[in-house]
Amino acid sequence: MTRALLAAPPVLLGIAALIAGLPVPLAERWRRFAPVAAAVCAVAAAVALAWTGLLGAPPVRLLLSPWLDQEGPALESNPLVAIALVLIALLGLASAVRALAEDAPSPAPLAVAAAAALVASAGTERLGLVFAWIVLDVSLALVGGGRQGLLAGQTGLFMLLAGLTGARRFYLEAASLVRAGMYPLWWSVPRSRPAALWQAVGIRLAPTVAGLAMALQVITPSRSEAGMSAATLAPGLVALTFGAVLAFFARERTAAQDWTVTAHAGLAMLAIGLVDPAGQAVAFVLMADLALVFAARYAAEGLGAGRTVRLARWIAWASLVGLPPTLGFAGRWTLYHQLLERQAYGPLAWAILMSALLVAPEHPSWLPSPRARRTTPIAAALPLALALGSVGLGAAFRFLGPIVAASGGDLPDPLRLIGARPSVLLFILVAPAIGWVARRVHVRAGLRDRSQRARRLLRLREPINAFGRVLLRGGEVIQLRSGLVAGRRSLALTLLAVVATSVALLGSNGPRPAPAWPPVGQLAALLVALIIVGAAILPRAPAATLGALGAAYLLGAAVILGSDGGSRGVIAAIKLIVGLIVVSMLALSVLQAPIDRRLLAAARRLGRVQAGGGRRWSERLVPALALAIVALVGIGIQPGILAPYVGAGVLRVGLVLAAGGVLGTVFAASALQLAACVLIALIGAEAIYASLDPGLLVTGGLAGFQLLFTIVASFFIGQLPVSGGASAEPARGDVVQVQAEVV
Amino acid sequence: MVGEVLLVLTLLLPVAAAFASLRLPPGEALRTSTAVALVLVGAATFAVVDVELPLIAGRALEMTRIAQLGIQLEALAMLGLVMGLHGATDDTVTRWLPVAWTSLAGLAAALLINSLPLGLIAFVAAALLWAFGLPEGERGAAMGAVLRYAALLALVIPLLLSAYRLAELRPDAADKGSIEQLVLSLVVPAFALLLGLIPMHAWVLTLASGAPRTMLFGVLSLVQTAGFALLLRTLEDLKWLTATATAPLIFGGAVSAFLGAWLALSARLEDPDDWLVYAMVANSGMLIVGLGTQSRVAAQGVVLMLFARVLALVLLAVGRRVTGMRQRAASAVALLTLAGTPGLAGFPGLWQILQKLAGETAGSTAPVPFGAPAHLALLAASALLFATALRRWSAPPDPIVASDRPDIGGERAVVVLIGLIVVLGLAPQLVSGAFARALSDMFFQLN
Repeated sequence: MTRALLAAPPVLLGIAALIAGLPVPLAERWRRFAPVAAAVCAVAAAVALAWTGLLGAPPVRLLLSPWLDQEGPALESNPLVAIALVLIALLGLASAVRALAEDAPSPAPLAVAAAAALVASAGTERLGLVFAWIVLDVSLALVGGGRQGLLAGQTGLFMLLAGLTGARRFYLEAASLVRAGMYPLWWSVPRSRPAALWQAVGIRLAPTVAGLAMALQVITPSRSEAGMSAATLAPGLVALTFGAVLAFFARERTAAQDWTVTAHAGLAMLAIGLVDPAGQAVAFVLMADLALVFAARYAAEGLGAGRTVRLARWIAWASLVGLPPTLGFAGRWTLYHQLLERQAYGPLAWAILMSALLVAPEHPSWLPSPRARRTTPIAAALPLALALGSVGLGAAFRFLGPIVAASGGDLPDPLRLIGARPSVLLFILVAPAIGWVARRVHVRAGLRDRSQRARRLLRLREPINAFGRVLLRGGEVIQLRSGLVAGRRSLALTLLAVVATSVALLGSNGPRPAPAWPPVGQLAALLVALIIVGAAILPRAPAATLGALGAAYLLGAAVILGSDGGSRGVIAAIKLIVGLIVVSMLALSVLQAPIDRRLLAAARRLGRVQAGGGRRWSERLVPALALAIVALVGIGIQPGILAPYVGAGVLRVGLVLAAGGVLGTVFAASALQLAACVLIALIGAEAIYASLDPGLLVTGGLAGFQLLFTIVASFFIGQLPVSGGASAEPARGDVVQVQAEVV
Repeated sequence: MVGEVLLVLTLLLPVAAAFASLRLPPGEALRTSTAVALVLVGAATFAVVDVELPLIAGRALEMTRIAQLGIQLEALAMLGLVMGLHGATDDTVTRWLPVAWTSLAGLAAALLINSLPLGLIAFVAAALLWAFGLPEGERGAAMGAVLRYAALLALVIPLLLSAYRLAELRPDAADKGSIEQLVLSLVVPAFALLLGLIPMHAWVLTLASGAPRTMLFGVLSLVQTAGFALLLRTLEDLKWLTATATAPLIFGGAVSAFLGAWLALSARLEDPDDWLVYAMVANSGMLIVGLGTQSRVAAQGVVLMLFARVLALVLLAVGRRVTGMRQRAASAVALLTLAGTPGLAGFPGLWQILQKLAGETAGSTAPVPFGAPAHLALLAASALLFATALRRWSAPPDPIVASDRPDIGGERAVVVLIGLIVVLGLAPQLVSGAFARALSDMFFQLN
């Protein structure tokens, strides 16, 4: 039963939104009153849930989808959740009733209220909160938040995820601020539209209540050990300050109303920042006050200036000021009292000053009320009913103790408090007076017309847009200017990164063997390897490249043959055969003609093939220097831990061939050179590998791979790099121009 | 007997499909390929685990759990590739379909053969086969990109071969620590290169700018998915490596995830592929971080994310067949899936990884190295990819649409795939059990 009651408010409000919004043929009467009926049921379900909670029913968890180990999106019932659901369902009902005064039903506030109810009913269930959050974000984006709102909401979601899956509670607190649409990420809750200001009852207030309820559940329990500090008070003070200042300087009625909500929510957050049951209780009261008072204010928009509407507005203003016997009085009184108790005089003075700005009288011609539309008696009575709700709860404040206590708060009796510290009443009454003075100064100094830039700056859109531009530009610079998309440099950077990663992981642990000068035989082999690599890289003539590749195969086979044990002879023979095939295939590709029985003639033609242009001396310098470094590495390298498996000679020659081949890949000027250098690197690596594992299967596999790679490379030899398309097949005696710069 | 038949089927079906693609007219080839891909998914799903078919010299084809998972994902990716080719020109179909199937056969062989070195050679060879799909007219333009891709793949072989052999020699080595360090210094850059992790990702970018889109999709979906399966196999075979590689995996993965997502966000709107490449880089980073946690739960999350990644690629491939809002929706949902946005299939995996990454919930006294910054990096990456999806909503639509007529099949496929991604995002338990079994032979220090 409790589970059904827990799920009922969001579901029923969602049904109400669907009825109001779905384009299905439905009688006008049904479309208007069915949402009201559904919202009434939602309120009833929430009240029943709260009642069972007050009677001591244990918390209940409703698992929606069991993911793993009984974790998954779930809802949770506790007294605070139930009270938040009552408030949100009431806001949904107010939206549905207020819509009766409009030409057409309005699904938007109901949809947002349904999503906000889902957030509230998730309680402290981690995945429930995450999923409810995204449902609310999508709802808000669809009803007017747009992409910027969605982005702000998602920033909050990722803070929520950081808080839920990590150790730092700060993120949870920040997330609850975002959810409540508080400064600085205030656009997570969309601004009201002047044409339908009343819709803010659902669109703005429901998410704000859901966010405050979330803050009440996550902040006090997590911070209770640390106690009140500047860090706990700061979020509330920031939201209160900027909300009040922006509301004071607002040029539009919508902005003034919206910023006042933000400031009031900041006041509630300031109370949460007290981090104890008393603060929890004050925040709870201010949250309920916010829902009722601002619902009355928003609902009154567009209903003209009849007596009931004026009365409702006046009561709402009185509650905002904190006049008795409204709920606002109870909230402000207890907040100021708590700040005095803790000797937090600075925050207290600041809160009073900002409250003064909030309640400063508005100039009627500046912020005109929207034009009155047709109205119904029930809709006209709605603002007054809501405002009277604030008065009723304020009058019955001392009896709310059990409800607040069940929600984790400790509610002091205000009547006793008034007797104990009557001076607090002065703080409350002085605020409107200061506000009145501030408004007069504001008018006389002509600040209204000169404050546009300051307002834009305070709304933070410009700094955040500038940050976004910097982010995009920075990424573009990294992407386009770093050479990552430029051919040769990207290859060089990639290979450099491979080497750097490898070296960083290898580290410098353990004793190194003393350097020893290699014997003459090894030096000679090293020299041959260097000549091979140099011949593959430095000249551009295909014959030289192919000759170097053939020589590399020979050297590789010789090194393998010279090492100890295993089936070296067979492996070396395989290398030679593969080398022969590979060189022949590449030669065929260069000539772009079949080699017939006149092999000598073909070889002569190959020798006459010239590259598109020789390398300049300066172009050879860098590869030559790199080769010199490779030579030094080859001389200095010691087998170290590989000593039991690989001889020093094999390691040196293999390493020089492999490193030289890799370098050659970077500096290759043609497809042929690139292929040859890759193959040389493979030959060098294979020479070392053959000492580690003399198996024939892998040797065969590597041979097959080299053949495949050669076929792939030959696919591109003779292609024109930019225009595409194969070059025409040359006549038998022609000299082919191999493309200049392809990679 | 059934097990052996299914094992052979997983290898022969792609070969048969490649052969059929060469012989049949394009339309029929596509229909046949769709059917074969579905049968392959079924054959891999019902394959009997641990069945062996002996080859020579002690080698055998073996249906391990990871091979089964890898082939399932490969078949699914192939299905996406085939669906993406519907509506393409006849020439495109006849060129790429046989290549894709042949490559898939090679990749399946790489996962099935019970020797890591031979598997590696088969893998790289299968990845190289994609170069053969380039038509005559496009070879010149694609030459630089494809040759660099081929060169880098080839250069991975020596690194991994040596690492595998040294790992085999480790038990008898006097200085195990040094050998482990050496193996690590070879394995990490090699896989970073294969999977295109930052800073070794440039080849994917050049492939995106130089190679035809079909090839790019084939490499991103088939080759990289097989690369992840190969990495899982490597970690399964070299159990000690998971513990040794924790810090580099988490650090490198986090850097890749964050920078990849940032660069995806700032990719030019008019470029149709750069953002995708960077989003894949970021997603790969997230997967690598998950593997680095040494946690079984996080590894299950990695497999879930891998599955979601394949689904996202399938959706992207199919999304290019449709126009207007459906194309935008397909791109956005695919990108959000890669981002691990809640409500979509990528989130459950990311959630499991994030939980185990933060020291408090990992259930261990020793915190995961780089755990806290990596945790934030992954979340920032996810948020940046979300912002990318929002930014790209107004990007120019993909101009490559073969036919002017509405592609009803494509539109339905997009809707079905988006529905599937949402369902899996809300109820991952539908598949997570099967994926968890794939990791049962791997070694984890934490649950």
